[in-house]
Amino acid sequence: MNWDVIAEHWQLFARGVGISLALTAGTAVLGLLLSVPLAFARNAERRLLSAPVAAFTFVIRGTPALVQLYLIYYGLSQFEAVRGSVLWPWLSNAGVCALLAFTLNTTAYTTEIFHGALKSLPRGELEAAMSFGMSRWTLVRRILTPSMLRRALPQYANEIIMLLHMSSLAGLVTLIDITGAARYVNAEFYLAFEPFITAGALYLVITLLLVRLFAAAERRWLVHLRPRTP
Amino acid sequence: MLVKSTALVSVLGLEDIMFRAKNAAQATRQPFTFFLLTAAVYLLITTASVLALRWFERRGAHGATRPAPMPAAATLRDAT
Repeated sequence: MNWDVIAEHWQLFARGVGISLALTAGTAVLGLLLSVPLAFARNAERRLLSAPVAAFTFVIRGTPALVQLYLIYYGLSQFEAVRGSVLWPWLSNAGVCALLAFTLNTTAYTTEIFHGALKSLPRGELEAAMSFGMSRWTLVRRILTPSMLRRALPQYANEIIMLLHMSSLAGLVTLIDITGAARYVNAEFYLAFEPFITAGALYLVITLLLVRLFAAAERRWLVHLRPRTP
Repeated sequence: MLVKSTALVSVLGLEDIMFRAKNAAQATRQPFTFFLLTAAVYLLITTASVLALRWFERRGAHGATRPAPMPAAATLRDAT
């Protein structure tokens, strides 16, 4: 055991935590913004609207995130048109590629979670809103979206934790996130156990914090759905 | 979920589809083609497992009485 090496490289791990958190947070925000409209589209009666979204979630959920990341990071360089385009400085950046791949992935899963929540909304909520004469848009904005987000909260919390763990794939495409830092120490000092135990502990701490955060959110927004205790 | 996690073994050097795809991508300089092929293979496997599970589910539920459908399913079509 040689923990001194880890202690000497604490800055590397600290920066790694920063990158992992930034990737997770950035992906979570983008994914949330995309999934809400997509969940409504997935739930639409018109097949023209729902079928493409269903196909998107099926393909993304049916393939590994690692393959998606490699397709974007390594794959896109195959095309002359991509390499020559104005977007190339971004698309050749590992951080942007990771953000893109993870956003795609979490959007698919979150869309399905929201779609499930939307389908399970009690009819009464809808009828009450309609009897107030709310327009379609008002109904979506005031009733369906908030109610959907609340009901999806427990599953969504899980998705965010999976997202944090998925962000560890960024360490494979040259990014120095938590896993990247561990891989660097592993390669440089030929230590396997210490850096990866450290990485695991860091992920565990962040996960525990996320669990706390979402438990607080559920206490705040899901209190009306809790089983009543005498 | 599990099938897709197996892609990770390629990082350790186990010669699964992902590992082969990486080698082929490097050798031919056609990473997109080979990773797309890998994705297609995974999609085939997950689709097959989903269909198999659905079949087992229907078989297992054979004879069980179905509860009455819940009066839920709030959709926009109700609002219009």
